[in-house]
Amino acid sequence: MENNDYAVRAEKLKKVYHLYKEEIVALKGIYVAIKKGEFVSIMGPSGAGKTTFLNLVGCLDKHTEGSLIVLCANLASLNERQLHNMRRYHIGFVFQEFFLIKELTALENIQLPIIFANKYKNLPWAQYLLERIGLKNRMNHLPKELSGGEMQRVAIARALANKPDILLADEPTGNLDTKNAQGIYDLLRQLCNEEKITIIAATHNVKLAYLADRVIHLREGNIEKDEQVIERRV
Amino acid sequence: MRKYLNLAYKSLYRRKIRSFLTIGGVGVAVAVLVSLLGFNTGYRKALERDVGGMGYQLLVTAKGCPYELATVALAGVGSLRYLTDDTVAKIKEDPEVAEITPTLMVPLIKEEGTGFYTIWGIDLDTYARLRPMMKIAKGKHKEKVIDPATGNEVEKEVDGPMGGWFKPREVKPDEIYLKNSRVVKGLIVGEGEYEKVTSRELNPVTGEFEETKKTFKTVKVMLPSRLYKKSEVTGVGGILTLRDGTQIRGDISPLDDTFKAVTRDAQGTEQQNTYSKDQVLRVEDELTLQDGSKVLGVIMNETNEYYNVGDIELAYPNTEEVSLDLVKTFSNGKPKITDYYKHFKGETEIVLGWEAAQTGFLQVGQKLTLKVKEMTKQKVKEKVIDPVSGKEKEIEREIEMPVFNAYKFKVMGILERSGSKDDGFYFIQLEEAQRIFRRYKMLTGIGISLHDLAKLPMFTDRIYNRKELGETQVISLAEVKGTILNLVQTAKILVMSVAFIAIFVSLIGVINTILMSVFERTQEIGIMKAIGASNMDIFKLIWLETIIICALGGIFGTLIAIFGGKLIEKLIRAVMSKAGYVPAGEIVQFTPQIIIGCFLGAIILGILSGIWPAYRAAKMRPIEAIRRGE
Repeated sequence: MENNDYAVRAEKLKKVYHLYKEEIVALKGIYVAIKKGEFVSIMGPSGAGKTTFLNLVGCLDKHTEGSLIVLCANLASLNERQLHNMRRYHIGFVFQEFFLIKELTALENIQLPIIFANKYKNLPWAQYLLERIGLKNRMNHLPKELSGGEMQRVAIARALANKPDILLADEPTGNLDTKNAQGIYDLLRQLCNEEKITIIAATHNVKLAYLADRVIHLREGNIEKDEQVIERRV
Repeated sequence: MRKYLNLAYKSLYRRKIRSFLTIGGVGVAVAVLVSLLGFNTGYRKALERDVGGMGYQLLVTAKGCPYELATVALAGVGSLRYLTDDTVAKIKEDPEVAEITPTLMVPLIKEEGTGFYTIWGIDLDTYARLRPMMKIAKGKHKEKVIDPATGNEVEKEVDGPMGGWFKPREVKPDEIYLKNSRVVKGLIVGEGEYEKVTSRELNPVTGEFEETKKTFKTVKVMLPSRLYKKSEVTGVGGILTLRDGTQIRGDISPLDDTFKAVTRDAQGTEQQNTYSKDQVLRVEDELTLQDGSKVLGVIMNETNEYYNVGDIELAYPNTEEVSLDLVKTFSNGKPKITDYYKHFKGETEIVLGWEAAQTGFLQVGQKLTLKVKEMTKQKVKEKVIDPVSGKEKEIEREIEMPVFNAYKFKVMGILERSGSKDDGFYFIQLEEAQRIFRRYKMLTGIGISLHDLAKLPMFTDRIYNRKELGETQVISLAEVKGTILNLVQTAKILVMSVAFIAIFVSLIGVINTILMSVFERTQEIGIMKAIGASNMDIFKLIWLETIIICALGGIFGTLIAIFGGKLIEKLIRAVMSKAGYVPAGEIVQFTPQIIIGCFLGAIILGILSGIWPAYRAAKMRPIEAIRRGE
């Protein structure tokens, strides 16, 4: 396969945290290659390194050793400016706690990345996204006026505002009930199929994890199992 | 910056109370600064207006504390010392003098005891030349006029000048040169005639004396005079002035064709000379008073107690009829009857400053009575018990007693508003002021303008070296202004440092507030970075918030200052009027420069205090920021 076909390629990827002089090795030199357009679930218990992996791919953090190539860019060699351009134009991030800006309405939250990117021409795109996630009528509502599921949908729409290549979701359904969680995964599936976005989602939920194309199991910083989903369980 | 505006506004709005308090803090600092600068400009302008409005560059006064005198000159109150009338003529001899005007300022305590009526006696001719800015006001107004049909006073609406200055009148005395070389100085105020028995002859037929009467045409001359007690006069003499300028002092007795002059030299040797009438220019009488001073004039009549000496500069006129047959010439050509006397007897004409007219609801043509309280020294007898003898005894004591008095005037005109102290003053003719307030020959100040102001030091030296001027003081108004401004400047530096401390404190306050809000929003900043905000975006956002706070503080402070300005002005007035002089008009004045300057200053404050918190926010690493917030 060509390099171009990979959204993420990690080789010997290692991440060490320093916490009160104690060394915590979150990732112990893993090898991962994720193709463009793939929907990947990352599974594993707490502390397995799921979030660390997503943060590294999302350019929110820097790895300690090994190489990490995201969309043909070697993250180790990028400067601060190039890193935020990666975050701005190529990567969308969805958090477990939604992290919407409290004082902004649903629409304004979605518009925010577009505004940061100075792409005022694309502002109508935010409205399209709202329609897409089925919250057109909630456009001017503040986050506190939305339900958990709705908030996460808005967060997903916000992550998609600058038409990223990769959508990273860190436990997107962790704070949601089963029904809403299913809805979020349906939406992710749909986005993956229709917009050809590479989706990497970390989750505990086995049932939801197998809605993806591929499930990577992490345990204590190592890849325990990497399985392609051939037949989806319903 | 536009893109962050909404976000910045919303994040400030979320922390309403804190944001408002910070804005308030900045506002107070800005308000202090704006008020101070406003006071500084306003005071300077008001002072310049007051000093510039004086019209003359120099003020000659009797010796005293210069600041006190300046206060008197500018504010019209204070204790007074006097110069005499003749100083004006003496100073006028100096070639450097361009214009000179004598003034007499009389502060009258209002009847109720609060405040003053400040009356200025002015010599209209010279005063108007020195102070052309003093103009009669114009506009629609009401005047009181006498209806010729009924003789009653009626009110009339008039559009035009509000009255005028004092009626022009000839106040310069005529000098009447009599055939016997006597000179009569006075004002010709009327014509008359009298009969005189010229001869008495025995009629041989009737055996009775027949009188031949002749009618003489006369001019009535008003001779202001003053009585001198015989007891205070130690010597009576005369001065004979010859045409060649020599003066002979002694006993002068006019004879038919000659004058006899008896003089004594130091050894007491008497010498007698006669002078023909052609030689003699004029004859004057001279009284020597106990204190050695000499009074020149004409002894008009003599009683057992007094000498009545005529002198044109003095008040309380006597009239004398001078036969035209005796008159050789008149100094002013033909005798011209002046209406001086009429005015003298009538109401004193007064011209009012704008405010004086407004506060008294006075109209042109109206009669004005100023009720005043005057302090007089009175001797009172008191019975006390003598501590030694234990007997009751009477002692005499001098006490100050208030006497209530009323002065009557007729409003001739109202002056244009000038914005200076003049607005509150009352103006009357100098001679009237000297007469009605019993300040004969007295002046409080002489205003002078020089041909060349650069020669001021030489001029001042000359004045001080002329001993005959007495104890005088030359005040340059530029110097006065400088002195007052220096005082104000010192106070200003002090208060300015307080203002700068306030600004410094508010700077720290702003930094603190924004830094706190940055730490509180750590997670939010992390998220913004995660969704694509660059370091610069975060920096600008936080910076903008600070600038908004300071700009709003600037606006708020300026508004406080402008609306509180009147209050500050009242306060300053109350405090400073106790110290003496406060200029008229607005002393706290806000120019656009001050307001714009302080607003820009507030923004600069925002720019400066925002840098550090914004830098801190921008430097946060996104993952740590998000994690720390959890």
